[in-house]
Amino acid sequence: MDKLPLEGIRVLDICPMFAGNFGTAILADLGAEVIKVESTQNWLYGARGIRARPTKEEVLRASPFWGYPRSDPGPDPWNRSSGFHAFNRNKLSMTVNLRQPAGVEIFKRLIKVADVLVESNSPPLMTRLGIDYPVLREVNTALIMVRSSGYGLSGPYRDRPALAMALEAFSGHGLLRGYPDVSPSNIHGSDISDGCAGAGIALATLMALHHRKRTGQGQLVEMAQVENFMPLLGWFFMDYIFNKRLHSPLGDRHPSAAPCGCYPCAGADEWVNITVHDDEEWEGFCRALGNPDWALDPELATIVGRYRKQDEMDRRILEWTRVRDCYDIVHLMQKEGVPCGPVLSSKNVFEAPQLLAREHFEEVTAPGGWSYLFPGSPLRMSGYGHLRVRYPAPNLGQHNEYVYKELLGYTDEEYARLEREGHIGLEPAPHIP
Amino acid sequence: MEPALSDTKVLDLTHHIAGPYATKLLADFGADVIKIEKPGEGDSARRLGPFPDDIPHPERSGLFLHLNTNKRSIALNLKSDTGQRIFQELVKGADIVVESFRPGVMASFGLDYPALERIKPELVMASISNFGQTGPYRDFKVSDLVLEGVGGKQFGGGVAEREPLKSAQFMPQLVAGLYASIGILAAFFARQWQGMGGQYLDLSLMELLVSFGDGRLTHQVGYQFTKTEETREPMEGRIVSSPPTGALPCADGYVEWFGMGRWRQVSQMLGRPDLLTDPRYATEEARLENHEEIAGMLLSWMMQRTKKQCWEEAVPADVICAPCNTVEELLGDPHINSRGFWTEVEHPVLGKTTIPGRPFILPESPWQLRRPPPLLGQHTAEVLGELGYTREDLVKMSETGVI
Repeated sequence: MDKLPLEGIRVLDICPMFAGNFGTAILADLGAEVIKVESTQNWLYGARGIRARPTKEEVLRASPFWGYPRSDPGPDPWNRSSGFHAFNRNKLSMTVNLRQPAGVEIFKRLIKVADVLVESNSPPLMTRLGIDYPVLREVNTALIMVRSSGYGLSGPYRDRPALAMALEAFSGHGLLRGYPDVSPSNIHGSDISDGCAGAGIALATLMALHHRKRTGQGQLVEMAQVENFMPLLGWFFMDYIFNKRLHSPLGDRHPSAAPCGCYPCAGADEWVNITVHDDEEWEGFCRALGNPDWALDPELATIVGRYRKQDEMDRRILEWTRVRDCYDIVHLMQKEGVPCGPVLSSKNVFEAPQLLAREHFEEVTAPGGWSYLFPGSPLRMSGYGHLRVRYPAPNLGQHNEYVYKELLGYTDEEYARLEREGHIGLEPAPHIP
Repeated sequence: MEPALSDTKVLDLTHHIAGPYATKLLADFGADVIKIEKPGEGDSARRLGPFPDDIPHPERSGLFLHLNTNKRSIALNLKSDTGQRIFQELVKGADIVVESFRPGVMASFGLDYPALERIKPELVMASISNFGQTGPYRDFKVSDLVLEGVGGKQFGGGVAEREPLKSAQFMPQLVAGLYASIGILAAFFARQWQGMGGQYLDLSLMELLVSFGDGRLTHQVGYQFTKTEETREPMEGRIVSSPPTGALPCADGYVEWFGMGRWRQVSQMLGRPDLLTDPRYATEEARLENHEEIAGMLLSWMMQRTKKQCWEEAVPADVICAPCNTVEELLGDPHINSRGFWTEVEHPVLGKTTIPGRPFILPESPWQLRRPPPLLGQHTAEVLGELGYTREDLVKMSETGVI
């Protein structure tokens, strides 16, 4: 069997929520042994669900963002949150209480046998826990420590707490994404920067690992999530740098192509995107519509004219799309060479013909026994086939025996003592609601 | 200090946005990336702008500059026999080939993976395409908007009364390019250090987006668990939490708040510890019931303060928020500037300009601006010279349109 790209690399993950967890999920997809270092004594908001022990009613009320299988919290809700399962496939879970000196000692033993540590907490926490890079480097000089906070490890905003939507607001996306005629107060912010931070963490880790293979040297990798995200708004920055121009949100429109919009289809809440970049696509678009009279307007023959008459065109297009099936429109447009596609929801993404044809989804069975379809890794390499889920997201503490006994060499007696002292366990302590 | 990828040689046949961003990330950390452009025209991003004073010029596109730092450019006609032969010679000295043509184009040049693998078995080759190299949508055309829709992010964006809302311009392509770079580097890592041979990556922008680890993935797995779909919230009466979560206006703009579960902290920030004992706000249910009063108190507090002031006063109370910055504010921001994020580049045609800098810091193997974004074909003579071609050869190739 061929070795996966990161097989043999051990990664410790002490990330609270999404961003860092996606980063280590990619590393795990690529074959790394990722161990989530968790605690039975301290509940991390959101990581394993809304609360440790939510009521049935709370679970029913919760958004599918915090989904539980069949909306049932079950006997062990902390193992059942969809948010946790989304970001923790292929990882192992161990527990230790880092807020006690004995826990820090255990953690240091783990650092000794690890290659990479990834964390995405606000910076003061590492100092408070006594596990800053200089301390850990003493334990393992070749360690790669990846620290990814909102604003980085220096500068006046260093210690400010952050979450994706605040970071996107800070980075400029908050004012650039929106409907031209709706106040930002009425729109829920975007969290795309979380994914970008995760991807950046995985990329930075690969680079640091490559450097270590070449030189034997570890290092402290630093990511300010805002800086990792800002290059994705480069087009806007360059226009300001060159022309002092500030852009307002365009909704779904395009700065130079028209028509460009998201139009309703015959089904409930079904939408289709259409973009016409140039004259050739405009001619194809007219053919797809059956060359209606309104499209013969000579002004519409040029991009300038089309740009000017977007509102009028959108009304006509909408009349045409709203009585048609989304996929019929897509095929009609694509046949004429016009960029067009469905707007896929979290439900109908699982029915998308292209993804089904390429077997993008795979069935995963959780440790608790329920099965679900999971969107696979998009990193398709001929040498490995699909990078499949090797094991599902772990139950809390599921791999304590492996980590403590096999990796760290604790005896049965010591293991029992650490259980009594609240380091080792399979469920959040009773005081956690 | 050597950047992390200073031993990595990449032939870059990508154009537009997603592919160039993937190879830029490698180039900025030291990879020798040779960008192969079509003679005369070059990368389509050269025509995208923004241009200084809005005057189009292929060497002055801000987007192209941003996406092509540290690369060398050669102009090479891959439709010509000589061009194909030169490319094959370049492949012998390369570790990685990345291309983003429409599926089938590389085969029509005789330069698809099976052909290149014969020349160099340990080659890592990546194709980045809209939908992948197979499947019913293989040849479908996309736009930025179409990608956002098929990528699963747009549906939940915006408000219930309106059409789904996309991210800012070019976001989906850049996001997919970022994710793609990980696959490319992982395959190279496997070859260098894990005893894997060369291999081929079939990267689909749609799949890179659908599997991207933000809220879309949470909602997809959430759907699988609950069979409940993600929805857009109604514009009127949008109450996510009380205290509010979202963007609210202040004296000079908007501040994004995360008020969920933070009543104690918000009361402290408002200087109203008395609110904590007020029965009208004693429980989460009560606060939701009286959300208008709570939002009103926050808003009147905000209206007396600027974005910056709101943020400064929120921090000691441990309230999570951030100013909604304009790009102008970010270019002048003291924090971002103190960290040296913005970078100056000296460009042969454009002169000196600022560009966005490093996404992350690898202190022992750092991001470096070694060379400005290339002019079209700027390094043709240099790179072909490295292959042993003489000045006379180049003149002849130039006359026949090969370079």
